Amino acid sequence: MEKNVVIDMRNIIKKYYIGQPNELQILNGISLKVNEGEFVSIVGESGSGKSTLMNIIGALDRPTEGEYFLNGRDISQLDDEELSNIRNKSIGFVFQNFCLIPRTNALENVELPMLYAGVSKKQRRQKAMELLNLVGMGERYTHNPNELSGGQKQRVAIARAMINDPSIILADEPTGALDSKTGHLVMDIFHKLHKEQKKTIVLITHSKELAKETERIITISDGQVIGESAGEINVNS
Amino acid sequence: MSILECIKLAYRSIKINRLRSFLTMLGIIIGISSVITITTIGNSLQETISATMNDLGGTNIIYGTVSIKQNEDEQIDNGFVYPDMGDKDLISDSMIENLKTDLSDTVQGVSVTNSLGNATVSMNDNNLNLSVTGVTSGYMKANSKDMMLGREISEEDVSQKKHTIVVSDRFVKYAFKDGVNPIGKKITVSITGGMTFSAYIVGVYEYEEATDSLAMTNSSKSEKDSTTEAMIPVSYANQINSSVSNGYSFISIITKNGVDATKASEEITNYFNDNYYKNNKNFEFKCFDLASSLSVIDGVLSAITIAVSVIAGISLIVGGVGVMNIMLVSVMERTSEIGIRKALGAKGKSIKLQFLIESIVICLIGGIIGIIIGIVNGFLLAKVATTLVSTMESSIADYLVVTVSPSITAIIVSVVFSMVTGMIFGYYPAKRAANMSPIDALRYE
Repeated sequence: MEKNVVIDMRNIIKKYYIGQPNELQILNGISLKVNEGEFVSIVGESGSGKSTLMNIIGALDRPTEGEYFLNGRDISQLDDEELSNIRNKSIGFVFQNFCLIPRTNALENVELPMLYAGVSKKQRRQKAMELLNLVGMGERYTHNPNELSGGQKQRVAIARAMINDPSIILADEPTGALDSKTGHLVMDIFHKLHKEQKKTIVLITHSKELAKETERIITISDGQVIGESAGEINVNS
Repeated sequence: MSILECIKLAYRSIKINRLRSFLTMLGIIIGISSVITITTIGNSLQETISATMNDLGGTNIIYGTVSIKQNEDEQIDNGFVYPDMGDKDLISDSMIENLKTDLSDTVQGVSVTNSLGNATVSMNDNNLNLSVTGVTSGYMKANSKDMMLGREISEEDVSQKKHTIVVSDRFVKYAFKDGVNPIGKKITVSITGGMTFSAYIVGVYEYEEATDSLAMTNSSKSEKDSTTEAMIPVSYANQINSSVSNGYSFISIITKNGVDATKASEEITNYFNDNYYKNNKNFEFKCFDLASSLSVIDGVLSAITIAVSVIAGISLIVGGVGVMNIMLVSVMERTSEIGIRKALGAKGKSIKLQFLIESIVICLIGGIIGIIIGIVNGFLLAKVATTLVSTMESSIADYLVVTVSPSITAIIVSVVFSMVTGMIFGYYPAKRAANMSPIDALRYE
């Protein structure tokens, strides 16, 4: 049975300093597809253009050329306001350095995307608590980020990424700032979300080890897709 | 994101950076508090003066005098030759009657006096001092004297030259034994200089230290030796002292309620000068009223208030620049926070609103603190001023009716002005925050 395609990128090109002598082309025509419920990793050395690709997947940036269909809608040339909406509703970010708002407790951090979506306080509280419980942070919802360990911060960030039920969770080196043990714990959460909640997850990493834990590995180099292989998804479960 | 949530967010961010927020507010606080202090003082002074004036006899009294004509040529030729004032130069009874009928819309009554000077009365083994004044009806009201017993000098007393007298309670205390009703008693008064007359007491008024015109001369004397005023009908006074002519050089005109004193003064001055003093070589009629003098003081105070407000306005602009500076720093410092918010779906206008409201809230809190400090300052200064006056000039202090009232207009204007300052000086930093690219902001370390 054909699954729904969530991400459909066609010949994406990204250039910087257009028209200037130091014009730089980072992405040289990337095409890729991610199906609903898939756990995909994008692997590449540093400088391969994976951060630029992630910015475009995450609607933080627009491609110079090419088409990007997210849930069947071409979003490659939308304006800032519409991109904000896409980021808010369709994409859940998990960053390497957690990116929690300082001096704001875990619960309020998780609520934030719902706040910008204009959801009432009561609903926000309820959903945020639910998700914090899911990632095992239910008892620490009053803690500020500086009172949490790296692993705990990343779990709060994952809860935040899921609050608006996005089409994809986009994780950029989610274990990069963690030791291997807590890194595994964080990866376990992603596996749990993938298996139990059928979430579509895109993992961006330079680590081939980590990439092996996903269903499908897309390798990029010099701004191009150079290979695709199957992962070993069931290793940890 | 709703405005209320923005306000909460702003409040929290201010609370987190308590010291910095306070220092930012300082410029606004100083500016607003100085405006409020000055306007409170100005307002209180104006109210104190007018309340005191009203207490001393009201602002609907105009004093008219016959005074020397300012004729520059003659002054240069003759130097200061003081011309004699004859019967023809004075204001006669018929002039007053004509004034009352011709300007009946303005004039309620005219009070004339004829002072017979100091006098003594020997009674009850005491030599008591009086200052005898011939008056018309309405004199008591015009001079804020309250009757305790009997009645005041009436129109009938004046027209029939009745031998009646109104004395003070202090006089009665020493002139009669306790329990004796003074009304109807005949007293014999010897005026300093020889003449003696007798009159029947028809009324007793209450001597009040605070408002009596003789209080200053009495301050060093005992109660028994002090001089109090006694009133007799002006017609009777003219009869007793025949050397005083058939006219007055000084009259008090009581205007009707609601009549503008300055306009009335002008009207009355023109009336007398056009009708009676046109051909008088040496003299003319002049008016003086408290309300006009008050309006001069009011004018000076308003000018001072405006001047200080302008200076405070400049300090508000300086404060505003301080707010802008801090907001720019705050935007820079929170670049990564802005990036995170944008990545999570915050629109540019939400970010703009967040920083704009933060700046407005800072200015508004500063403004409110400034208003409170200003009002407290105003009250303290008024208190200090009252204390100073009462220790140094105790006789004046009794007259003062001190009222402290902050200017409501200034408070409202201050609140609005501080909000506008926050808006203007917060706009640019907020716009800068809103226009940040989420990628650059996320990467910012």
